[in-house]
Amino acid sequence: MIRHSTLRASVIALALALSAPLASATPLLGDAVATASMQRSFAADIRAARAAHPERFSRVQNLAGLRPAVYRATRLRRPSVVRELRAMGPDALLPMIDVLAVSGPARQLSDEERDTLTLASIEALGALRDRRAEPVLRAAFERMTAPDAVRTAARALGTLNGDGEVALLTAAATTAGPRQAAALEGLGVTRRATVALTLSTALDAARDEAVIIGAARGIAEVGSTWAHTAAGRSVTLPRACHEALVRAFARGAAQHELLVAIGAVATAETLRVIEGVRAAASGDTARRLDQLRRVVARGLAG
Amino acid sequence: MRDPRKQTSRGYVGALFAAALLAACGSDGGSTPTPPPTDGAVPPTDSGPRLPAVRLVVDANRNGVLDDTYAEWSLRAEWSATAGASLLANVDDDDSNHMVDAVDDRVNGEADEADLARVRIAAWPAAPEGAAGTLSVDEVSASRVRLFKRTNEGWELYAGANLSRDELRAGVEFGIEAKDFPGPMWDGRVELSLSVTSSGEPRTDRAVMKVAPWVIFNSLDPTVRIWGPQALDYTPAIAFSSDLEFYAEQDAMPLTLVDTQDPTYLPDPEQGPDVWMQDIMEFGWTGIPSAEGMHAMPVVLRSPNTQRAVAQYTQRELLGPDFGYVWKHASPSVNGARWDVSLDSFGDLELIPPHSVGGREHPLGRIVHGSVEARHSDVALRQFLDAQGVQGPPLYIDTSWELVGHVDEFLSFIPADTPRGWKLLWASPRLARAQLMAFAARDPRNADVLIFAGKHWYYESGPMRGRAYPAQRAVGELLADEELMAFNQMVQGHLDALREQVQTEVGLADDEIVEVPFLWASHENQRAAAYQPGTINLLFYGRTAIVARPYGPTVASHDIVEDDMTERLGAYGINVRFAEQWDLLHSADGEVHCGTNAVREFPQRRWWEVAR
Repeated sequence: MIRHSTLRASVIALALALSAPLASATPLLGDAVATASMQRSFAADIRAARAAHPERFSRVQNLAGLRPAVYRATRLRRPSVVRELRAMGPDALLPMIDVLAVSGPARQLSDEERDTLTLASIEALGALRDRRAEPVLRAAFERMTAPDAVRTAARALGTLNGDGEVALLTAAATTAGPRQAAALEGLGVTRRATVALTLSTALDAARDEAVIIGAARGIAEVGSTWAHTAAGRSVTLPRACHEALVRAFARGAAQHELLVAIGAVATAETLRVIEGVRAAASGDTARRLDQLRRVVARGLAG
Repeated sequence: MRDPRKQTSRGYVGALFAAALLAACGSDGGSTPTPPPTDGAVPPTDSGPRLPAVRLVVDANRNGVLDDTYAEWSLRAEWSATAGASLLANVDDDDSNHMVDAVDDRVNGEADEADLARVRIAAWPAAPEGAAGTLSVDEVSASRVRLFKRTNEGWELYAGANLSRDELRAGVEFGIEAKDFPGPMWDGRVELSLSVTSSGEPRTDRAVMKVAPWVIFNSLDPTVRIWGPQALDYTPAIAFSSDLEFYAEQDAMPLTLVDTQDPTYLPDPEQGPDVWMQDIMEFGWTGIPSAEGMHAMPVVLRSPNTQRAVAQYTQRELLGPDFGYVWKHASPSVNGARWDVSLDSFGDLELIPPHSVGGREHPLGRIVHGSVEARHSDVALRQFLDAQGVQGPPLYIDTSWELVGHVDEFLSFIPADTPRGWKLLWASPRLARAQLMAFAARDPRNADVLIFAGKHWYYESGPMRGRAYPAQRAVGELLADEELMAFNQMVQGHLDALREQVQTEVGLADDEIVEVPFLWASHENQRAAAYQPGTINLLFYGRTAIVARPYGPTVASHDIVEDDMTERLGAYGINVRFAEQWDLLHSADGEVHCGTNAVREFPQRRWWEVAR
């Protein structure tokens, strides 16, 4: 005869076994980011998905690129899992949410391995363009502090590209603070024409190098003619964006990043803008603008 | 059983190199300096002013002989591009004891004797009773060089002991070696001071010598031997090494395949072999004047990365008689948080061929290395490169936007029939996109043609079992990949900025640059690596370029990327040969150049003529 207490204990044990591989594991995002309410919101879906496809969860928990025996033999000698995760496609969605925000990794990871898995999961979640990831990506952007993580989360939100994400990123992009630079870049990733002027305004006002770079990258994303052509869109970057980029370049900060961004969006309009700014410049500024003009002209001729 | 041809024994490569060099360079091959006579002082032989009785004789006129003429003596105390004596960093292993000869305080046989630069205290037959002398080295150099005095019994270590009257009367011969190359704390300049007292009256003389630097080979100079990886139990490596063997045999190019599965180089067989022959070693040379031109030896610089077990190959198999070895690396605490060991691999160390720009000459070329404050290589490596001088100042460029971070991923060089004699190859995603768009536009059916047909990312073996996924995709789908195209436009921005820097620094005109088309992809955190095989990352020797098989769109058996590359380099008389390396190198973020290496012939231009 099975005693009630034994049966009850067995049921609890079974429930725990089905709910998570290690109920005591810490989610990669940490408890401050992955709140209890977030975890509860995903619990049922994750439970069901794990029951239906345990191999998907196992695969994310056992990524080859996180194993020292594997990555120490790679050329870079460090963990790398983005490609593995992205190759799984939609199968990885809930397992990645699980490891980021609910159960965490099943085994002890080094700091480098944890950081790698965190960033890679955020990036791969964004690439899936699945709205179920939105709460996790939003939380990562709003509450993580490591610059790489915030930038990756911002880009992922930009890739998701819903109105809510755009509103979130716009608010952060127009507010001075540690997330402004990342938000500007993430806004650019949306490639919505409506964000272009937000970016150019922010760049014109920016004096912090990180913000300049974020805005420049954002403009390079939203103004990417190759991206728009690939998507079958015909988009013209507002002159204000070319002007903001060239004026920022003339001021002297973040030269390489600005050169890259200007080159990435360059059109004949860019050359006209450069000539206009150059006309009022002298000395070192004039020399740098001459260099800029040379680079842009060469790129356009190619 | 391993093929003994493919596993070098100590000194094997050195001997082959020496033989090839003598064959190729004729009268400019290295040789042993003519030893001075030991029967007494050599009287002045020219008709110049009277030489002082107490004097040092060094090879200041760089003819490989101690002339003891006024003409040579007058040059002894300074060092410039036109005069001044040199000594070798004795970093080969003539006694095959697995250590560089400079480690011990012995002259290890005839071959080691030949590596000693000669210094002589001229004979002073009239040295009076009580005359005594010493030869000393400046304080900074004293711990970095070693003097040997020739005696009737051979060479003995000399540490400043008194030289007797009899020795002064007969003259004294010394051999001098440096224990290392110039470095951050020592520019390699050695000052010798002779002090002789007789009847209480001091007489002195001084001479200046300079340590021969380590000089990187120019990739466009004639090639002596090429290297590639071997792993007989690893299928991807078999494909690549087979192609290398085939082409090397066709071109009569000596090839060494390094057994990367040797247990010393592969402590854990589950890991898979470390096949990156470019990463672990950079070949250079050093030499001093000889009667035949130059007494020289190739010297391998081992990667600073202490974690690459296969890099032990450089010490185990290359260091030997007339083949030197040098290894520089700092501790992690010295290198700091921005240090990236990937930049310690020598795909990130290249040489811009000889050129001049703005009145500045680079007759031995100029080092180019990817390293900036935000992401830098081992400081010990950069300090070493800076200190060699003759191929500097190094051009440091920003490769932080790349995943691996190496300059050879976007630049290389080819010979050309131009006043400069060479052209710069430069990566161009712009050209790649245009090429694919033109292909798609030519025929509507071309949009469905596959690129990377039949290929996978990752090779299915060992820990990667089950991880491989298809790489192939239709050209039309690729061109519609918004994220991929946006990223390539960003990469083009980086390349345009860097091209401006390199063109300006080197003084290149636009028509001296040949663009090479291939697309890139973002791997982790927006860092770039080749998406199409990086055909620019090639191995060049003779008139051959071994290039990554690109698996481009193929119609009627014509791969448009292969055809383009064949024509693009063929215009310069270069035979393009495609090698199978997708699984071994490309899907592991590298290409042909990354997996190979080469030793070249010593150049005609001598380092001592480049005053830096």
